[in-house]
Amino acid sequence: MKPDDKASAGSDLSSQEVEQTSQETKISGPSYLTVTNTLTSWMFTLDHKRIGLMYLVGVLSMFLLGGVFALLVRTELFSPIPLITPLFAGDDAGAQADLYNQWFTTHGAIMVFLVIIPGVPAALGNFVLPLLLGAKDVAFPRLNLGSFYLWMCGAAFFVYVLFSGGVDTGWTFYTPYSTSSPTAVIPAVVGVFILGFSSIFTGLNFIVTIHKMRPKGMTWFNMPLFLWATYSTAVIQVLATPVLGITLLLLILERTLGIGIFDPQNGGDPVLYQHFFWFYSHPAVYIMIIPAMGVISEIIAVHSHKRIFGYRYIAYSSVAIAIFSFIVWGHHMFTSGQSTMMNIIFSGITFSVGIPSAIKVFNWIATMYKGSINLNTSMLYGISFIFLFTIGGLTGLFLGVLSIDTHLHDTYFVVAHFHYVMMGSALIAFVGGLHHWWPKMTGRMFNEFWGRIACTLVFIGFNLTFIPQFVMGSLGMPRRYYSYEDKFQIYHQLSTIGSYVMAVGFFLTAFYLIQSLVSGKKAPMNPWGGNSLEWHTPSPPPLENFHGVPSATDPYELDQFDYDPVTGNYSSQSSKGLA
Amino acid sequence: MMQFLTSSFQSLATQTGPTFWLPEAVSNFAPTVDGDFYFVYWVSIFFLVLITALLILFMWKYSAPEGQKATSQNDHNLVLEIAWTGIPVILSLMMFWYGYKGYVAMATPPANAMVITAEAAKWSWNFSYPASGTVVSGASEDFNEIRNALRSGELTAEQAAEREAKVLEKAGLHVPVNTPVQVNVLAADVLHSLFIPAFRVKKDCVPGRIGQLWFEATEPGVYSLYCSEYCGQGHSAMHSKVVVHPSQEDFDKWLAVAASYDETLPFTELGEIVWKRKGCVSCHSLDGAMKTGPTWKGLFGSERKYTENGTLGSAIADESYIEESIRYPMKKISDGYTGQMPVVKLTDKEILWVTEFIKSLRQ
Amino acid sequence: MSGDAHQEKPEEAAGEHGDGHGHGHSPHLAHHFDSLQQQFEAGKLGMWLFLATEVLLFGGLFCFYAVYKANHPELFEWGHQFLDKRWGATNTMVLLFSSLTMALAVREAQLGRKNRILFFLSITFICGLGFMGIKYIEYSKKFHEGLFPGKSFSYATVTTAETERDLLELNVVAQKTDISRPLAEVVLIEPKAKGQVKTPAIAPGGRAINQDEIDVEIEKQSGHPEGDGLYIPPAELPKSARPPNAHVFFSIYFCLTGLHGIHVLIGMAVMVWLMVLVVKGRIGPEFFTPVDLGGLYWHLVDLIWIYLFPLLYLVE
Ligand code: HEA
Ligand code: HEA
Ligand code: HEC
Ligand code: CUA
Ligand SMILES: [Cu+2]
Repeated sequence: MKPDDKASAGSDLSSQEVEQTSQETKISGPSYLTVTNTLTSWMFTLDHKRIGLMYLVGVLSMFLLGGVFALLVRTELFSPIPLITPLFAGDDAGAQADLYNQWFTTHGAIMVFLVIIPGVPAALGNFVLPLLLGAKDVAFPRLNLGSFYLWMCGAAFFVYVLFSGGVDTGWTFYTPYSTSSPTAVIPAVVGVFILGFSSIFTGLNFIVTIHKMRPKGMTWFNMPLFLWATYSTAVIQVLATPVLGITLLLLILERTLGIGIFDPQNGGDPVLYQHFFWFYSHPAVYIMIIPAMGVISEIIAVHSHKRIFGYRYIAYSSVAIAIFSFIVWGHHMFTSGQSTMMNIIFSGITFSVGIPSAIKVFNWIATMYKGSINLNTSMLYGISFIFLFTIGGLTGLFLGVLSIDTHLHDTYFVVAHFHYVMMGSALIAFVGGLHHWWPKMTGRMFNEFWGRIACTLVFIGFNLTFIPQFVMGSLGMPRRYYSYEDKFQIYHQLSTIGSYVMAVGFFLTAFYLIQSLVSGKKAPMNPWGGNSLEWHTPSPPPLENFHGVPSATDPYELDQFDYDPVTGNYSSQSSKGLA
Repeated sequence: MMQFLTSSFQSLATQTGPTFWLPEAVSNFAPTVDGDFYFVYWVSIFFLVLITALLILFMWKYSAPEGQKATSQNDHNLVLEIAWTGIPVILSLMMFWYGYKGYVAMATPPANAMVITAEAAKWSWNFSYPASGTVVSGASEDFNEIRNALRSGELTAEQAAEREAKVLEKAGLHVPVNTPVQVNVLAADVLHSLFIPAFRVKKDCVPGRIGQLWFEATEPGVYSLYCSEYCGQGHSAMHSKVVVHPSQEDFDKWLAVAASYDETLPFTELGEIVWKRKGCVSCHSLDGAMKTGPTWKGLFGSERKYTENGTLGSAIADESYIEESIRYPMKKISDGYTGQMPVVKLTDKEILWVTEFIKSLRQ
Repeated sequence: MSGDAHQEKPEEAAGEHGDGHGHGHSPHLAHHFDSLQQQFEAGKLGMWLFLATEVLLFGGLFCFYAVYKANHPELFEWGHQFLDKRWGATNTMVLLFSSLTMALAVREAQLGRKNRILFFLSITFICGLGFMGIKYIEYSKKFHEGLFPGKSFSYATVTTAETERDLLELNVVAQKTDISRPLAEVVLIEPKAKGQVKTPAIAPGGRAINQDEIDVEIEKQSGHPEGDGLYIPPAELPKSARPPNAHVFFSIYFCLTGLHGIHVLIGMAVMVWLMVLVVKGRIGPEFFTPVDLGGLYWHLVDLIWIYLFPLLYLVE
């Protein structure tokens, strides 16, 4: 997917020359994609756009890998008796179950740590954030590249784990199972540890960038909401991830040296591990959703051609969610044996997160009211998001209620809940954002027709996959089960069929996106009529992001543009001066 | 006894049978939990329908071709903001309150509750009734076998129910109806969790801690019991049954039977019963298959290589070797295995019987 | 780790990659910043954030400490006896002093006095070295005694020394007393303070023995204390009985001080790197960000130790 495949190697313009040319030729200068095109120019690039693209390729490949494991899991669960595990594990019933356990662990860990946490912030965020700010780059480009290589390194550990017998602890690495499991727990944990630092440095970079590199005239309340979202996210990344780091370090030490902090056999306390794990991993779920919400704020406003409704409420609610997210972790442990008092407190606080989320949902809907809605692919993803997030969020409320969670904890209801919020919301927003910014990133338009079809397939497949899981979960089907009672089979079968439909949708997406790189229409500067700064520079942008120095616009002043059906571009008098 | 069990398998799902969303509701908590559930459920349905309706309406009404301008650029409305902040606040406070009330009841067992201990180990349950000192197993293995036989058509539904009833005569979690029961949960190795959907109760079994849950079953019958905290290979096979007896007498009768071995049986058969009842079955096969522990087929009299305190050794598996293996499983670790065998407390008699049983599996 | 946040500027400023040229700006200014001021502020904010993550990293460990202290105070009471307060205090002083010299280095950097920067940086570096040296002494003593974190904790071998001491003591007492006399009784007298000789009172039917006497005798008989293997002088054995899971204290001790030690090492590496920059003449009054940020980092490392010292060495 990288453009250097098709580029002629060795167009080795020195950057000085590039700058001169770009100044001379103004609009038609080389883009960041074509400016130099050797392998090393990509590997050692400090350009946030290239780093973003590399993340994107990495994250999407990992999504494919995680998705393959999901399909294996789903296929196996089509029937309560061993179905496909015998193909890989032979006749030994124990080995079959072990294999299944490795599948869902690998699936969960890849999706969480390699796909969805870096997804929006690192892949999309890296590309868009400096553009939205009108900056030339993030504050620390070298650190940014470092983060990317840390990500690669973490991914390499996971791939190594796959080839060295897998890991079967569940993505939560609960002790003492994780200290006694014979599988490759340590490499997996090291991988997660490294990915944690990748995430920390990305967050750190973004905070500084947003604080210090806003252009003249851009106040905090003049920023696109995506920036508020990434900012809030970055705060969580910087403050919560180190705790995961130290916890994982201790887990490794527990496994190797038996230091006796988590393992009851050595005098440790497994519940303590859970506290520390969720102290990170609960905020982590908001690392996934807040930037996704930021993407949705952009998509909904731009494609409705209407000023975002309740700007300040959306902005503040991002911050509120980030803050509250730090104090609700105990809701994952209602049945673990922590004290009754703690349960009550955590349950109470849990609901506080629902309120800012509600505010966002309603403001998005109000934005659509009396808009001029283009039901194109990005917008369809945006609308899917609102619907799916509502379901995911509302089912989160069931889980926050103490008495109900006692029944629902560790059942498929929880599985369905978090797929609605992680896959149905965060990932859908990621894919939506991918479409929204695709023309800007690649300079190509994708095929709208297939885009809409694929989005519809994903939407239908997704609901078909996970609605039955709610039902069987509340009926008592525990999660992480390789085999189950016959009465649940019908739900599992529906779910499996749904996952195939969804897979077709995603493969279709991959197909037309790659096809657009080869033969897509050239993208105009502003194909959707957005007014944030990235739409004021050519698609794809030049190396320095902007020709000249951009000055802040009102990102949501969207009715000033006129659409030119020939070029597919939105333009206006007032924005011309910027180019 | 037997009739009660068989008939209760058939009569499951009567008045309080499962609904579309929730399983049969047969404990004192079930009505509260279900009430809470449906409260949140209807609130959610309301918002979901509202939001979906608005989305569809707006998609339909305001969809426009590229280039058309929006008819309004209005971007705020304080009344709306207050409404959609305030209403969720109130609703979620209510949710919290109901959940809190329901949960506090669950968390405080009454003082007069009958106490049972449930001990989880990879991958079996043992239930002990301290009042009589009886330990019965969860018999996960038997239930799995029956399930498989049923699936493969070896057994008809009736036969399966009969077999389950037979197993349940000496296994499973048994409680009398309408009596508060407190279950203390323990774990021998890793985390497990005791989950009885029909009672809406669940508690993690944490090694090194004693957890507790309680309930009062309201309807005689047989219900599923699962391990719901991931515990490795046999996690999904670690299930058992709860039997609610129609009366205290019925329960007492069962307990008396469960506590006893039919000592008129030959030792080897008694040994087999121990093998099943005490959970050896989950790790030791009789047919040579490798499981977590070495198979017992041909074990007796064979030469065993082991590690003891880091040094290698070997011995012939004779009576005393087996006794030692059972009493101090961590002492000699057989080659090819890790020291995963728990200490299962067997009486002298039981050890004798098991040894005879293992002997009988000699080649 | 530590270098990342502020490594950008100087190297970028050197123009090792070409995309930062031609603006006629200061050579220290990276291409994506508008002014040196902005660049400096960005670097500083970045460093503060980085320090925040460091604090949280340690914060996690401190939480483990707090939890265990609350649940098992006996571990700490027993374990801390093995930590030598004098070494700990010395190290505290060393680090405090190094913080001072670091601060002076930053000041000199702002003034651009090259030799003085180098001087203060090297003093700081040497302090770091000294700190690690002392840690080395402390660690090797622990390892020697079998006070490892976790499963390999083998202070058990030393418990034999404890019983050994009991045996010897009995032996000595028997020798010193005339057990042939009826009603012989032994009164052990512990010396109140060093050097204070007290005439022992004679117990009825026996004689009083000064504790020192026994100790001296034991030393003679056992042929220790110096030398072979794991022998620990009885006087240095902990006074209270070893609680179960005593190793957890040492797990926490080694995790905390180990992680801190790694940070000191990183800080020393930063110091070397700063000195190279200074020698190369990259630091001056108009550009001293690296020294400034390095200083911040060093102060944090110092600060963490200030918390570690009382929490580990002075618990009682
Ligand atoms: C992107 C990820 C994401 C997001 C955004 C959320 C959002 C929420 N989650 Fe979820 N959650 C996970 C990911 C996520 N979760 C994961 C991964 C797990 C399981 C991990 C594991 O065990 O493996 C989990 C598990 C989990 C549990 C533990 C369940 C258990 O194991 O027993 C709980 C319990 O309280 C919970 C609650 C919530 C709540 C209250 C929200 C809220 O933030 C939701 C807020 C949104 C709304 C409320 C909807 C919008 C509002 C309206 C439409 C208006 C009406 C609103 C009201 C009346 C209040 N989640
Ligand atoms: C972001 C997180 C994420 C995502 C996206 C998914 C996606 C999916 N998940 Fe997963 N899941 C988790 C996170 C996620 N999951 C976690 C954390 C767990 C818990 C693990 C544990 O218990 O430890 C879990 C567990 C889990 C289970 C429970 C296992 C068990 O408890 O026994 C199941 C079962 O059905 C399941 C199914 C699926 C399915 C069918 C998808 C599908 O949506 C996947 C569809 C994707 C594809 C088919 C790939 C197609 C991709 C391409 C073609 C690449 C190119 C794409 C583009 C260009 C857009 N998941
Ligand atoms: C959780 C799994 C598990 C359970 C339950 C279990 N065992 Fe074992 N058993 C093992 C393992 C693993 C070994 C081999 C390692 C060792 O020697 O300790 C073993 C070894 C043995 C041996 C010695 C065999 C040899 O080759 O050395 C005997 C005898 C034995 N078990 C008897 C029993 C009896 C009797 C029970 C039930 C009351 C039982 N086991 C329950 C796992 C288990
Ligand atoms: Cu035991 Cu899961
Ligand atoms: Cu959570």
